Amino acid sequence: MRFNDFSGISYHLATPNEENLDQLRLSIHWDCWAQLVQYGAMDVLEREYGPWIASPPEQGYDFTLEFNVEGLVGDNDPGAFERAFAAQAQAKEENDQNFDPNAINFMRIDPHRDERMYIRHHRDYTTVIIGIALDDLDEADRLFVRLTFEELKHRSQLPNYSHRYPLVVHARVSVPPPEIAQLEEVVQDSSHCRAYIAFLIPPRLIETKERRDYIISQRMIFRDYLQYHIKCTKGFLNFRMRRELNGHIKRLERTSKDYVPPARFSGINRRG
Amino acid sequence: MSNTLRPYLNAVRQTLTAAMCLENFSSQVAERHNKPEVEVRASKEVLLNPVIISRNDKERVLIETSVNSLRLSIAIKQADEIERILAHKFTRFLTQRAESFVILRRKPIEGYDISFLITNAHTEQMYKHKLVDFIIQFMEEVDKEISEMKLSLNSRARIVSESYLSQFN
Repeated sequence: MRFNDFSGISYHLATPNEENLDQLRLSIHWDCWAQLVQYGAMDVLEREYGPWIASPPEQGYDFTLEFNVEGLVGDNDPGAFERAFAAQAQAKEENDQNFDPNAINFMRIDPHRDERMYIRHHRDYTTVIIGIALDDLDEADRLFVRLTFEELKHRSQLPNYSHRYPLVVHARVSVPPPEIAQLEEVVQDSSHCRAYIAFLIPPRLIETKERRDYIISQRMIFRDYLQYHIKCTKGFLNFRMRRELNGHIKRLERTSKDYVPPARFSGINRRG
Repeated sequence: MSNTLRPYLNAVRQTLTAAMCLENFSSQVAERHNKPEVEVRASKEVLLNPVIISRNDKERVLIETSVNSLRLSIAIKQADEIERILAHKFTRFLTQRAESFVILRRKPIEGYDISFLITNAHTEQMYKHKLVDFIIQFMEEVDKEISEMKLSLNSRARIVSESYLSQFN
């Protein structure tokens, strides 16, 4: 059985042994796998799923797990298999242990065809920059993206929320943040329209492992969240405009000489 | 700004009432044809002088009249980019459904956002004073609708960003 999820990751789930139907094989294929491995994804995966890794991976896929359904512990959420966000987890851990303020290099991951993510750790916080391609959106949709980004930036900088939200330092369309503006792929990209947003995540938000995993999955869905918001906004505007149009047409019908107002229920006591 | 709105709409109403004296008139150019002369513009003697009523440099109304038809073009107030995009979307939405909206023209005149074409057939079918009321009300509603859409866009963006950021907590 093959299936994909919305982030463009493909999975293949099979029972290789016909006698033993409890044995499952799950393979995953993701375009940015090479980048993840470069940043140490295999170490984290071995730590999490060590006994189950099947090597070599199944043909056509990047990573394979084989496991027995009966042996799965109750709190092992199968959903966790579906996210190989190891590099981010490593970045967070490095942030805690490693106080190297001179790390200049960004780790670059492309989770999706249209989306680029750059991660860098500092002493006090982790920077995550997400660049989303807006080429196939029209002018109105780009406006919605711009409005949302401005609100994100504004919200995160409000004084009473600053201890709870990550700080958004740069949220602009077509203007890359200064930290990555010199990278070649960003310069080459300047002919396309891309929206950039930079989050600074303070350490207090990522203190426990559960919080880290949760925040990582929140970030992965940013692009999908944005696309969904754009679609909802378009639908909402269409709904309003259709309502206006119907109102106008009804009023226009009332200007007609043949217009008969709809009979109203005038009550029980009608004089005959 | 509403102190200029009432005189503006009054001026438009008076001009429209005067201009909407339309009667059937066959084409002088092609035999057995009957066309709206304000669109064809073939004979000079059946066309009247066009009138522009301006509230300011951004908002104005152009009224062109002829013996059997009247063309009204409105330039909607667009203060910033959001309003410009919303006005463009809204007028495109309306003009794509111009068949059900009998008096609407499918393409606006150059320099304006939306145009109406009213012919003698329409005035025979509809009351003139009610048509004028309708157009004035339309002009008010369009402005109101665009400001409401802009407000709701901003509040939606605010809610979305609030809910996304609060998930980090």
